[in-house]
Amino acid sequence: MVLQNYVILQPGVPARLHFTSHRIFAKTITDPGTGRPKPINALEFQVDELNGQPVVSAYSTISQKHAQDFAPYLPGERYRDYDFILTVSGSGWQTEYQIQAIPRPKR
Amino acid sequence: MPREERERRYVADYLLSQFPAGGWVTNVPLGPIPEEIIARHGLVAGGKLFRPSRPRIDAVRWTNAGYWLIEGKIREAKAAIGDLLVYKALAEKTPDLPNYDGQPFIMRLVVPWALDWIKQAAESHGMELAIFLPPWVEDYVRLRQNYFTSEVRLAREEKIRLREQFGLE
Repeated sequence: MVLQNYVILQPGVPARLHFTSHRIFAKTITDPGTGRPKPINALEFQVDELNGQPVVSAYSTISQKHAQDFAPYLPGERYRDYDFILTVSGSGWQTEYQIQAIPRPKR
Repeated sequence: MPREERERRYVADYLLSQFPAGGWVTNVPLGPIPEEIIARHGLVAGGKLFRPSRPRIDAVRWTNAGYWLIEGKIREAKAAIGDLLVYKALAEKTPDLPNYDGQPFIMRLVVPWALDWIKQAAESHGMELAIFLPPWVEDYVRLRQNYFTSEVRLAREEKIRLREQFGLE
C-alpha cells in the first residue's frame, strides 16, 4: 500500500486511476495573471488504485474544463465502476488531458 | 452569459451514455509528426514533443469494423462539419492513433439537434449524424434563448446587486 497525498500526472505518461469518492469544494488561489486572490471550485477524487497498485491518495483538479470530463460520472458515483487512464500534456493554459474510461470487472 | 465549459461535458456524456463499455479516448491529437523528430526521438517521445502544435479531435472510438472520429458541438454544427473533414485528412496521416489497426475511418458529428441543411451537408460529406440531447443541454439552450429578455435581464441585475451588497463580488 502506497501512501501519497496527491497523484501527480507526468506529462505524456498515462496513469490508470480508480476513484472511490469525490468532493467539490471552494478554494482560493492567486490568479497568475493579476496576482490577486481568486475563489475557484476544485474537484477532488479519493484514489484507491494507481496503475493497478493499491494507494491511499487523491486526484485533484482546479481546471473547470478537465472537471467536465468527469461530470457525467459524478451522479450516483458512476466513476466507481471505471478505471480512468489519464494522460496530461502541455502546461499552464496549454495543458490538455486525454481520458479513457475502462469498465472494471464486476466483483 | 458567463463563460462555462460545456462541450467537454457534452462529449463525455455522449460517450458514457452511448458506449459505456469503453473503447474510446477523448481529446486525441491528430496529424503527422515530422520525420526528423521521429528519427531523432522515436515515435512515442516524438509524439509527446510535437503534441502541443497538433489539433485535437473530441474523441475517437474503435471496433474491429471501424474507427470513428467523433466531434461534438452544442452550437455551431456547421463549423464541426468543416472540422471533421480536416480531422479525417489528418487522421489518415497520424502515426500514433490510439488502438488504430487499419480500420476504415468514419466521421461522426454529435449535435443536440440538426436543421435539414446540416443533415444534408453531413450526409453529402459521408458523415454519420448522431442527435444527442441530454436534459442539461435543453436547460442551457432555454437559458440562452431567454438571456436577453427583460425578465431574465432584470433578475440577473438583481442577483448581481445582491452579491455586491453581501460582499460576494
